[in-house]
Amino acid sequence: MTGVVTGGWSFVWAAYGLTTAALLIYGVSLFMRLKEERQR
Amino acid sequence: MQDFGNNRFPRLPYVLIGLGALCYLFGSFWGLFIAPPERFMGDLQRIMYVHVPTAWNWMLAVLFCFAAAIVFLFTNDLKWDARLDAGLEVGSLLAFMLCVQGSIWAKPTWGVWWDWDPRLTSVAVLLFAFLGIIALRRFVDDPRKRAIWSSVATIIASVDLPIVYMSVKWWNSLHQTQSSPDTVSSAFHIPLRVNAFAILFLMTGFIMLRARIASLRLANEVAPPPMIAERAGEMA
Amino acid sequence: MIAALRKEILIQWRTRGQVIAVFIFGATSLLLFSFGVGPNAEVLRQFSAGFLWLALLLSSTLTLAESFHAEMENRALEGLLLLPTDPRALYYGKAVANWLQLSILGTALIPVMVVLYDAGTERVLALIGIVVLGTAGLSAPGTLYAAMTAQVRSKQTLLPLLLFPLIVPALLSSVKATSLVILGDPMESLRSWILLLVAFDAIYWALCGLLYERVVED
Repeated sequence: MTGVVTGGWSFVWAAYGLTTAALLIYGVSLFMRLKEERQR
Repeated sequence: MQDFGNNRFPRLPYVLIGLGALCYLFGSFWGLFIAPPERFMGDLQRIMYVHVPTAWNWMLAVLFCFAAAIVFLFTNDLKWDARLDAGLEVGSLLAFMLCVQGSIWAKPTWGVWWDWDPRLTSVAVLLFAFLGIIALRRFVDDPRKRAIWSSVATIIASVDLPIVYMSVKWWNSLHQTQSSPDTVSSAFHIPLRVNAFAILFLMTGFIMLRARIASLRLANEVAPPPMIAERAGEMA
Repeated sequence: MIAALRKEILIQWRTRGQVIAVFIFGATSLLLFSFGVGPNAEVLRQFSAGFLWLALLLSSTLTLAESFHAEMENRALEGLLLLPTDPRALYYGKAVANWLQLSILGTALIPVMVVLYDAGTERVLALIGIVVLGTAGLSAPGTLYAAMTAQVRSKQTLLPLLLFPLIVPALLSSVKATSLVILGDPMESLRSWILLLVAFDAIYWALCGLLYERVVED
């Protein structure tokens, strides 16, 4: 039996997706900001 | 141009980020596809493999900010302000992620997006506090004053965190008796630990890069770039 | 510190029109909250404590911002620093004066709350006591942040932005304690909330005094 809570997978994907997206976007923004600051 | 530090190991942050990304892929893959579903939570449990590591690292970030603030007030060395600047931003990011993850977990579990869990509510309060300090920094032009005020505000906010937690916990316990999942049996340790290190490496790398950006900004502030100085010379 | 306090109270007495204006602001807020909820007497009574403290919190931003207005107008802040007074004494003088003003404001709002929300109780002294303790929690960090934001552009938005997340424990405790006094306390939990409030006050009055010197140095 998989448990009391059903229909979990969409929420799991949402959580992982948003976490990954946040980390990625922030990382990229850091690279870009560092490049910009170096050129100044 | 004056150097405000944070560049002692030029390659290190990139190494950390790369390492962190690898660990994250490995840990998340394990958590999503290899770890078995939990007894009561079913597959929803898998959210914990990102949520708990984010939480642990958020606490570290807050500790880092607190430490940087105190060290700055004692040393008056602006490189610590650069580190504080970085910690505040990365800490806010982690806090925001925690709130989003927590909401996504709460909806199918409790039927509501926000269940006033003491831990998550404390995170939200501190998120707003940090955002306020970041806003304060934008409005202060003098780097030294900005640094002192940020440090003071950060210390006050950090000291507040345990008090906020206690008061919300108590405020909440009178109405609801649900608990947030925190006990994880040994079968689930691998994805948890791997992702914990993943986010630790990523966070550290991010803070180092962001501190470097802050240091460069400070250098630009204290001594403006040559073009502007030249033009000022022309006008004189 | 007594001299600083005396000066503050003198200034506040001279500008007491301002105090009345803040009271009207607070009372109007209480009125508006009731419109937000609707004319359900039972519900209003339930939330009366919350409304009182929200009104007090909003009003405090006006009071606190005002407390450094005189200094900023005449650049007196720097002048005060030249005097051989301990900046800590200055801070506590101002914080106590703000505390006094907020306590009076809170006490004045109690009858408004009683009337609008049918939130009467016999334990009026307990209510006033909670107001005094709660406003202490607002005043200490509030005075510190007011000193900071007074010197900055966009001060009106920054002060609440910085202060509000911070005083959550004081707000929670005050609201719970007030609510217990008004609605009844079946589990005798009032003392614990008061204790939490006192602890918060003690910690912040000490901490903010300690840090104030750095905030106004040049």
